[in-house]
Amino acid sequence: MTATATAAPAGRTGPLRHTVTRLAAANLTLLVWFWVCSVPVVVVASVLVDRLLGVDDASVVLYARHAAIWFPFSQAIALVALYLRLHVAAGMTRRTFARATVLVGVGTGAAYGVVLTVLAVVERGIHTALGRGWRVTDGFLADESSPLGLLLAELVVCCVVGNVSALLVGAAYQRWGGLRGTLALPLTVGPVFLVFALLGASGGWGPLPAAAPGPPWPALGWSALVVALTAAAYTAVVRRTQLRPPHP
Amino acid sequence: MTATTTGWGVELHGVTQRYGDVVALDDVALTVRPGTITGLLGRNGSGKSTLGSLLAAFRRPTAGRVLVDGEDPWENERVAPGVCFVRESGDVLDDYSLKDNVAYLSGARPHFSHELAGELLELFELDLKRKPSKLSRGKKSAFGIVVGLASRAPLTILDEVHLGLDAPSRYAFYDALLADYAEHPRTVVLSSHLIDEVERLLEDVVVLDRGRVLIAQDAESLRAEGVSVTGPTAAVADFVAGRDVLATQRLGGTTQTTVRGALVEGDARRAREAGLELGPVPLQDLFVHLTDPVRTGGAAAHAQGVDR
Repeated sequence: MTATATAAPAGRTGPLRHTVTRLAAANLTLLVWFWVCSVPVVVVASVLVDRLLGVDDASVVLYARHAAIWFPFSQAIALVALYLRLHVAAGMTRRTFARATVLVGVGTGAAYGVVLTVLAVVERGIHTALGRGWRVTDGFLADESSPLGLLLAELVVCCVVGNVSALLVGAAYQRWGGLRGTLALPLTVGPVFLVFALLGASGGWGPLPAAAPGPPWPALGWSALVVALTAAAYTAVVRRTQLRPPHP
Repeated sequence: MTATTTGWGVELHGVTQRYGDVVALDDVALTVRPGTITGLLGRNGSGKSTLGSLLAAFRRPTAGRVLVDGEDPWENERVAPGVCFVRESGDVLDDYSLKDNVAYLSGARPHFSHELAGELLELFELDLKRKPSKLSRGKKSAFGIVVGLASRAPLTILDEVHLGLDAPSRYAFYDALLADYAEHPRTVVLSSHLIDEVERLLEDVVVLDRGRVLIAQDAESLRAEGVSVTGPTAAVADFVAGRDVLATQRLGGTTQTTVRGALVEGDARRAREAGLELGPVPLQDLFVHLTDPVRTGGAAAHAQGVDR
């Protein structure tokens, strides 16, 4: 009998590293596809905004922040739905799944935030080269005069909370089923809007009333705490999830 | 314990599993000996898959204790890699290639044999580039078998993994299971409706009926307990009086009765003198008679007395 090669690993890795590697690779592929598809859209939108609306200084890249939050959000829900069962069936615990997915979620969010920031910097450079201004029209904390680090921190926090909150959404559906998972949405998606509000409150955006101008770091700190609490809630939910048959 | 040399034992103490109003397992007490191939038999809905789910920590029992190799398997970092539960419905990534699935499923298995996986993929003619969603039911089952056997887990639970497989593939599976089991002894729990086919593999048998253990004993002694008595109706009735009668068929003046319970000294002679024929009863016939709904109406209470 001729054996088919199934790519034996050179050295066996621990379950956490094994899971992080696999999931991160899948998310990275999606990230590349997302930006490959998004950048041309941003370019076309920039031209249209300029030609049709006569606005030549607005940052169109930063309008893409919501796509960069909600696209990986949907992927993270699917990740829990697809991989939790497989993970336990592969002889690993929910604990390692929770740790791995939080790590991957935070990393994915950070990566989207970094790419978005880089694109914003490129856009600002192009505007400057063309002799145009560069204006942030839907900023949260950061505006065109803010240091780059603040823009980066804001975008990373927004994208990270989207990913971690989505894990919680996915876990709630897995644990409590369709109806109760949907009813829990205000709680499970809530962290995203809470962070928006916290960041927007400092800069005059969001459902909360605008706060008095002040240093942005407390808002970022509170947002990081929301992310941490969401991750803790997700871990608690997923570790008690009983697996249903794949095809009931 | 050396994982691949002896296999892991299983103990259930007063295990009950409810799904809402449905009781899937009802106060089950059971021991599975380490290093055996145990047949898990039962009609549809008898609780076989639920039992596997509890052993593999897919679920936690509503009540009672489940022990695998002496420990609760739920969220157990030591036990989890040593339990492989393959369900007929398949826990795979439908839209990823078999190669990707093998890579993910093998990563946490300390004894996963890529060599055996390769051989089995060849045997079942599975292309690593195909996706499970594009496979036939039989090929999907075959992939479950590949994962289940190549994992070489100390506790391997195969739940109806041969559904949809054609006969040659099923027999190839049985041969592969026996060959690898002989080389790498472990505990295998094999759930199947094809009792005639898997009978030769089984060392122990557990029969579940409506969530309770009806029988748990070694296959050899169970086979020896089934006896068919054939002959004139009156003589058969006289011979089986006081015995555990499982089934009776009549054709004209001839009756065939299946009884459970080993023959005692003198039974064979008495049967001969009465013009009766005594014969063995296939395991499948025993199973059918034992789980007959008409009969098992009162069998549940008996069940807990015979399990171990």
